[in-house]
Amino acid sequence: MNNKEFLAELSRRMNISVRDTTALMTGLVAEITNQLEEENVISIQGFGNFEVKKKLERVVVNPGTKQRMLVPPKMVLNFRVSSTMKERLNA
Amino acid sequence: MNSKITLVELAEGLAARKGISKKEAETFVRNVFDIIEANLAVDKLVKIKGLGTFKLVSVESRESVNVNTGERFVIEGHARVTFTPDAVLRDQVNKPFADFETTILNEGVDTTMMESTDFSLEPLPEVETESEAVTLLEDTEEVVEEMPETIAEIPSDELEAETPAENLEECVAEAPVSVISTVLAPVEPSVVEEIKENIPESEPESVPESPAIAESVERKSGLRISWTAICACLLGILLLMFGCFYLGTKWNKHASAEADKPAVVAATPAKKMAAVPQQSVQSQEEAPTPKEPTVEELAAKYPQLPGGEYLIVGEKEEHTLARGEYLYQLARKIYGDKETAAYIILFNGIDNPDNVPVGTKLKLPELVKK
Repeated sequence: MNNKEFLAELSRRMNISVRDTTALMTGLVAEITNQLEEENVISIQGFGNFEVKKKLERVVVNPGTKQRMLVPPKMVLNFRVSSTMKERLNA
Repeated sequence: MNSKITLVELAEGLAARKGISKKEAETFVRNVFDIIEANLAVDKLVKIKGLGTFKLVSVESRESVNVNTGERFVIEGHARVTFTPDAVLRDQVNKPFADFETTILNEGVDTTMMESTDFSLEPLPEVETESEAVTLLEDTEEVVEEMPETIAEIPSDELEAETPAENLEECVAEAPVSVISTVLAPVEPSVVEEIKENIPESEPESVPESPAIAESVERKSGLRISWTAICACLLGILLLMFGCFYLGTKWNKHASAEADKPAVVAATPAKKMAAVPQQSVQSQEEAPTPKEPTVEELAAKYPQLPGGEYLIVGEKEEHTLARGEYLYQLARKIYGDKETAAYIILFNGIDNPDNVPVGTKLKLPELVKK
């Protein structure tokens, strides 16, 4: 399912136009992004958690050239699916 | 920071953004995640612009061993949800570290020190610059001491012969002399004064001798005399540079005397020349060094980065760290080179560059490339 189909389905369910849905969806994504930027955990009941984690810098070795490289630290967005959704999907 | 945001809070934020009721927003957000889940089960893939891709990956059943009992057992095949954030969201989240790049480590780089994030930078070897200044002072003092003697000893003929060359030297040296006096002035004004004092003292000595020398001077061509005249002019400029009023009046006396006894005066400037070449020699010796100390002296006042590309020579401005700003970004904005962040860290004595709170007042150093 791509974004277009998703928006169509959402507008059907909400009974609003696709254009309004798109606007709302942009707002929601912006809100999520904003919250994640502040390193907040977004926890959706029955769906899962969105969490930003800091990965420390590390040294990697290219096995071919034996060249050592320093990989900088970074912030990574993780999604952890809730156990209830996992059960439902596996049922 | 690190607080838990629930669906309701997310909806509240959306309602505030889009100007819809909280209830509407809540149903909307709920629907969004419902649709994702429903379609995940059907399509195994849901792509949402700006957020990312949810995928349902089936994991095949596999055998494993219970680590405690050593018993073999089978992990049933199951569905696993993976989420890949959209590039926009991923970059947004990683914004604080966006400036970092993977760098190749050279041979012999010790990675054990990575564990300790000690950023204490060695203080600049200030002693070195101090001693340099001291030797500089000693040099000038020596020259000053020697000056009167040389003036008395050097025969005027020799002086005359040297004059053209020395004259040129003097022209070259003129600027450096002023540099020296300005450089020395803040360090030890007395040295400059000493020079001034020594010159007038030497003059009276030379005047009595002048009649004898004058005869030899008279025999020289007119060209020589014009040379000495030029020398005298340059000397006058030099003396003005010293800004010594006493010397200025003295020179005026000599100038008036010139009208009465040209022969004697012709020698006197020559004698004076003796003092000037001394200075010019001194300035030539030191000219290459003093130009740098102006920067180095400034630099000596501030802590420096050992082996760094730049010198800290002053404080440029103050900057209050705003939200979302960080040192690398700041360094790139101000100096055009993110590596200069190290100088900001050093200049402000930041203990932990990884954690500089918002609102920190940072002094931005004035940097000069080495």
